[in-house]
Amino acid sequence: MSTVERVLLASPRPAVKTRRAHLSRESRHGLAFLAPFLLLFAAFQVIPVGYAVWQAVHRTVQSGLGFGGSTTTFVGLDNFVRVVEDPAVRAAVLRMLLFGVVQVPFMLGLALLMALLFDSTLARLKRFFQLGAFLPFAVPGVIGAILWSFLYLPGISPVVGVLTALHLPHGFLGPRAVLWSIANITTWQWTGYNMLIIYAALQALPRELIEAARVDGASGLQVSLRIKVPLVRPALVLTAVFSIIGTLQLFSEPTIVRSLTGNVTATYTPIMAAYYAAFGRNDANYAAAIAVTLAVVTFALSYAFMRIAQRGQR
Amino acid sequence: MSASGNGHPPGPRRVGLLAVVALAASVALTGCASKPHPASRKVEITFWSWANTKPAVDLWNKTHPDIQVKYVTPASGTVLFQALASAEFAGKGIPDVVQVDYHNLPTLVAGNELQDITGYASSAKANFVAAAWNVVTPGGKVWAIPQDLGPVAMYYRKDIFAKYRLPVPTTWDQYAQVARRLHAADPTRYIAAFPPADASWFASRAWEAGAQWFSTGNDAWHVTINSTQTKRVAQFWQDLVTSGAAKVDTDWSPSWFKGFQDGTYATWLSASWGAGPLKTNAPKTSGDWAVSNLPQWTPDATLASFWGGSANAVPRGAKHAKEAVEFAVWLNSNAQASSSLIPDPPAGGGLFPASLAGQANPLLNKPDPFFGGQTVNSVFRTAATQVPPWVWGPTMDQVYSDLGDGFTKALEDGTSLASALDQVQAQTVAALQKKGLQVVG
Repeated sequence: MSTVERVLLASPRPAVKTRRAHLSRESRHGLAFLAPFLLLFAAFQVIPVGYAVWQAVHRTVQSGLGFGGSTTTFVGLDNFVRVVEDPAVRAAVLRMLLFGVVQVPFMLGLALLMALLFDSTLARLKRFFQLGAFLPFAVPGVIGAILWSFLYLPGISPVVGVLTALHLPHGFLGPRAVLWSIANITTWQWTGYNMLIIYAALQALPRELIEAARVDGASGLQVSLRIKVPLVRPALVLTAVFSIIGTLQLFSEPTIVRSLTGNVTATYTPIMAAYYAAFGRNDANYAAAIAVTLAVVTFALSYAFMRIAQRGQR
Repeated sequence: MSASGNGHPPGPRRVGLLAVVALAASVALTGCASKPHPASRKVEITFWSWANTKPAVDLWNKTHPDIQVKYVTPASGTVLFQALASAEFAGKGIPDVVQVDYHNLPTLVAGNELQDITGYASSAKANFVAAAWNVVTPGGKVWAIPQDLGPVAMYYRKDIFAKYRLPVPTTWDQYAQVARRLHAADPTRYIAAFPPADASWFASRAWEAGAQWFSTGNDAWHVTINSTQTKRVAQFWQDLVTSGAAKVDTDWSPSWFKGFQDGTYATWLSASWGAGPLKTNAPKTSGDWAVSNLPQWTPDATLASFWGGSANAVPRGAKHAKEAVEFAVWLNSNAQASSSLIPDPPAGGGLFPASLAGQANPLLNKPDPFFGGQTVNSVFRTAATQVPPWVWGPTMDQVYSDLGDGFTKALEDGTSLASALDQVQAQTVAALQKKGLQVVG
């Protein structure tokens, strides 16, 4: 479950404020019911995150040739300063922002369009196309990336073969094109998923509202744009936040494509930069600092987006 | 899969914290790990090996009832670091012997992951070829027992060379001439693929040119990745690529394998273990290949290099270091064991032994039908004796990543590979300094 979902589920908590003695038995029972969750939450969220923060404010250094062991010292925010100053990390974040600014609106627009079509009475073979649109999500991400990689690869791909024969551009793995080739994989994979969320929201709309609009003489297009889209706004905000988070955490697709072209560098995305710091440079402290920074940035961006989206609603 | 992130929408997966999650979880679960061992003479040790060394391990277990070895196949490369670091952090599930790449050995030693086994292993020195023993003793202590070597030679397509009446080159000048003639005669053919992202391949090219990337002295690392020798090699390949005689391709990719299947590439500068992938991926070219000594930079020289190869090390937390070393020495220098290591899988590990006894094994003298009946291992055996000294640095994964990225970018931008080497030099010095190491560069 994502943070966002958790926040959404947790927020309407009954705010019961009574004297402690009064509720002690009930709260003990409540605690007992909560215990399994709290235990797992502590083991898999609180402790790891706490440990990452601890790692991020320490540094492991060796001396001489480095064959005589190492020492770990507290360095405060030094690692975070390194993250901010690291041109590779900065380039990775900017790259993902560019990616997100283009890919997220495109994917969500497509998902919205598909959801509206499925929701309208126009669509034929609704079930079939819906399943078709959702199917890529059921394919494991790495497998999808491998399949697409084969379609991008010169000498193997029939697509590249045809494009080459027709003298059309075919450099899917070129230094600039490769980012959009990756965007294509994620769009293919996630449009159906987002469509489903929006479609579910559309299905939940009160039908009387739409009928009333029709009685008032609104066309199909007007019903869609003036009634349906504003009403599914929360679903759109939700999918947008998920997509922002997902974009900043892009890892497996570029990692797969990296095995085919050096144009995807070791620090292509922020998560890849963290992975490379941990397992390429053996610097777990720096990797933790990148991870914590990224978590903060992701949180800030998601929060800012939600605030802006809410302000517009009023 | 789910943990390593399918990247997009559902929720913050904190992929970067993955390792941390794994570590913390194992800490939580291992509070009661250290039970005392029952007083029995029989010892069980665990061996992580990605090569198929199981037949040899079975042989050991049959003949050594007191020390039973459990064979486990882990992932190689960076994933091994991850697994080993997690096991050591947790204090549980630490193997007694691990197979590690030579180039990763100093990184593991500097990461404090391995035990100094000088006390148990120094007497084994005489069993191994000098070049191999040299690489497992960085800083003068024994850190591992050599297992296999990757001596490099030139695989070439006899039929293509014959068709275009090309001489087999013995110097790099000749190699370049042959390359141009071949490509002029048939523009779909190239002398070789140049893999800009595979820095380990380029390291071998620099090594056989007599370059040194790292050395140690006065308790400090000397970094010389952008030396004149290495730059000369880089310029050589840049010229071949620019003239179109060599083709830029990512090695181990499907299109690269296809190049071997359809005769796009006429040579492959590769190690003894390269025969395996060739046979599996281009079976129809059987009988068309041959192996010759590497071309040389100066006409009378006889220099070669290693590409890959591995050793058996003992992790820091391993409890049975003495038995582990005893097993590793036997595995890698016993003549009978080498008979199980040399054959291709599934019968063996497909390994070219690092020990003198292993290299004397008659199995290496078998003519190979894939190479038209040539006894290719005699070429590799000679090459293994011609390898100049070489020191791996303590951050090889960083060097490989930065060099691969730098070369790729240089070729895309049309800038020189030599200037990319200058950049890697600076990046490497910085990486070592960040670790707190003494660097002269």
